[in-house]
Amino acid sequence: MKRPVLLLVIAMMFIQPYASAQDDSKATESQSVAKQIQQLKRDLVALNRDLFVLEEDLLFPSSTQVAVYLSMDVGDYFKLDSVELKIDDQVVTHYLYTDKQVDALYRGGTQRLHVGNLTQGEHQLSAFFIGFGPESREYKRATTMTFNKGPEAATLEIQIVDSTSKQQPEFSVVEL
Amino acid sequence: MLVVPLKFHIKTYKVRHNVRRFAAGLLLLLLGYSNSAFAQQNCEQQKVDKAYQEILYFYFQQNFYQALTHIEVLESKCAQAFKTVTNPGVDPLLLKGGISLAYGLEEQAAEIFDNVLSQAADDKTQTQAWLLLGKAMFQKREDESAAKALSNITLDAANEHLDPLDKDEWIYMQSQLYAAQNADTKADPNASPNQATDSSYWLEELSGNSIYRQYVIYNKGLAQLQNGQIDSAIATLNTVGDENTGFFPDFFSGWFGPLRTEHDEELKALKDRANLTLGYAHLKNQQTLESLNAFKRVRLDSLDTNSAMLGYGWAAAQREEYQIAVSVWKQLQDMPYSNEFVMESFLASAYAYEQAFAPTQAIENLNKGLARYAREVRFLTQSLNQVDDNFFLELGKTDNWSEAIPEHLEEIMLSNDFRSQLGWLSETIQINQDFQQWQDRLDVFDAMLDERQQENRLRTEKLKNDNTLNKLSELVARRDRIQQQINQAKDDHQILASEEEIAWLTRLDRAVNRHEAIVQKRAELSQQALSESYAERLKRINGILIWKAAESHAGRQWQATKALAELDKIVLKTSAQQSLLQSALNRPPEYQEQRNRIANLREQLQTKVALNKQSQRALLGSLQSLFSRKLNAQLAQLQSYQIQAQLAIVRLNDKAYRKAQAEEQQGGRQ
Repeated sequence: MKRPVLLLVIAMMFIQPYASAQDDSKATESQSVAKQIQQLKRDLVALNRDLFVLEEDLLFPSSTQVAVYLSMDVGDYFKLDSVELKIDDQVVTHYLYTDKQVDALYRGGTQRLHVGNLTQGEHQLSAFFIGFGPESREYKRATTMTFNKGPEAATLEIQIVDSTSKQQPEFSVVEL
Repeated sequence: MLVVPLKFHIKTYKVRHNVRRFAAGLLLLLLGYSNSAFAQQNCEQQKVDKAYQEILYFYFQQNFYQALTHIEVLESKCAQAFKTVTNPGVDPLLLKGGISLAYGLEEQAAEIFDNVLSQAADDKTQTQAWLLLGKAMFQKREDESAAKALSNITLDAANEHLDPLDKDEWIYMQSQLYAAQNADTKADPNASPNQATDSSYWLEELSGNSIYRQYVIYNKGLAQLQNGQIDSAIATLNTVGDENTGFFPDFFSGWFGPLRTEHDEELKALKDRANLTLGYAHLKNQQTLESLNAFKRVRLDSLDTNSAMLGYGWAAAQREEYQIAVSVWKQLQDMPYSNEFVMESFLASAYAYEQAFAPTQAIENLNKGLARYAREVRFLTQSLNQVDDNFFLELGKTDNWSEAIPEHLEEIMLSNDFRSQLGWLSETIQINQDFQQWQDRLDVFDAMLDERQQENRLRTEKLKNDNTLNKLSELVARRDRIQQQINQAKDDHQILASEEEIAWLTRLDRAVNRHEAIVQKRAELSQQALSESYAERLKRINGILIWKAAESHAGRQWQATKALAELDKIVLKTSAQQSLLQSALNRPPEYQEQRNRIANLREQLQTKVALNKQSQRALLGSLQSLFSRKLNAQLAQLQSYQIQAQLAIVRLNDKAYRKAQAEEQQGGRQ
């Protein structure tokens, strides 16, 4: 019995890494579908933008809108696990974080934690944080702020900052 | 004279009380009006920065769709936003291009990078833009354009402006492109030699622990094999196959981290592929021991395991270690795969048995092979009838679809072209789901607008019915009356009397009335008149009260004027709010504009849904045709194996017959 199989397999191994010219017509056809899908994805993003803006205009008009952002420092002294947000003693958000989300916050991303509607006047925002503090101890903290909602959209930011002097995380809310 | 009439006393007492009530009324009006105030959309720096950081939040999670959507939203709200972002890290346009590239919008990415490069960007931005533009072209397999873009980066610029990971990627792409170019120009003996076509040039520039080093070396080894330089190829591939791939750098530390796809598994797979190639190269070079060692290094759960097992058997067979060869091939035959390596192992085993002078086992093995081929043919033929558009659509909806396909179809469906087409199909399914979701939401928006319009109509009617808009003028009139009273208090200090003083005045008033009644009654009864001292006492008390009111007047006047001034401020503010409300009420309702937006988006959605369905149908047709083509090719291959096995059986039987005949003749002679 001969060894045709071996030769076949060896030949298979030496296929060029650039096999683009194998079947030009099929490749062109695939390229065309790929382009169509690419264009569709592009349209999808544009459409999503318009729908997103419309949704925001309808659901959260700027006269009543309040948005709460959350940002984090490098996270040496605190690893965030969850946040509960209350406005005027009503829980408006409870958020559990994945490692990927925490990492995105560490790297400079800011999360829009809550967007809602509020009447004009004085309101109180409270945020409760659960996570792991220095030496991986369970860490619970809260911060609160009273703010005045005016006729324009209100934007608040919850900041978690490492305090190197205290070797502790610090939690604060600021109005932007 | 008893100066102060009772009614007036009570009225004046209410002056300050009225001021307080009046203020409360104004505040209520103020709160009511402010809800209708329309704030202007603005592009404040802090808000732009927050929006940009939110984009980063999605980007770092590799949620490119959301990141791109938020970029578009930011740009639509503030056209200049990207120029004003504080500390963006990289040029925001480059970020958008990078995200577009990662999301699979190579064309958009290329447009953005072209745009960045056409502007007077700094050297760093230009270098990064050329890199990403080259990468976009490289991914689109537009080698010439990619080479042109990447060649705009000099080594010095790469060293200065790219982080080591990006620089390595640049070198890797350059080496690949030059290798391809080299392959194209090889046929031309007059082509000018290019230093850069030599992989060693690129290897020198790569950082020590770069993952691309392995790729460059592997491709170099492959190129040497193709050129017939077997010894050099073996030496080159050994450096990948023997490489310790345990080290894994932190690829996600750089700005462009999520754009990378390398991971530890990839390195191991590359090492497997290098060892497999090495094994066959050694085998071709008659270095069977080295070949065995190379095949042994391929992992048992690798994509190349079956191929390596087949090769290992051949290496053993070449060393005439047929037992080992047969044992490996037997293991391969027992595997639940339908690839050519498993199929060929039946023919290979028969070869080994024949070489080991065991023709019966060889025939037995060939018969087993025939049974297996027949079974595979049966499965494949069934699949040809069963696999339809729904099958592909269901597959496209499954997350790990490669794990959901039947084993006998793995060979067909795990091919690169099938994978890419099914990937596109999954995208069209996902796009369709997104469209469907938005259509549902548009319905909700419509219903919401109906409800709001109805509520607004009721509220407007109520405003008109309860005369709310005229209340301010009533309140202003009341305020003016209070002002008048305060003015009158200059002449009559008791207008600003305290509650206690008013109580005293009331009592005094009562006493005066009684005194007058007694005096009158006594006169009627012709009794003796009352002593004058009573009237004098009442006068004296009245005098004391007037004196007290006069003494406190200056302070009270000041307090009342101050309260009124504060009141004026609120009146002014409320008046402004009322004007806003009035203009809002006079403005034609914006519902129509919002309804138009919804209708417009609905129309766009319908067009896109139709386009998506069209692409999906084209893809399904293409997949079905690809599937049939591949399946028929596999069936043809199986038929070829069947013929080979049948011929081998005939040949072996013939050989056995001839041998038996020869033995018989020899026995007859004896």
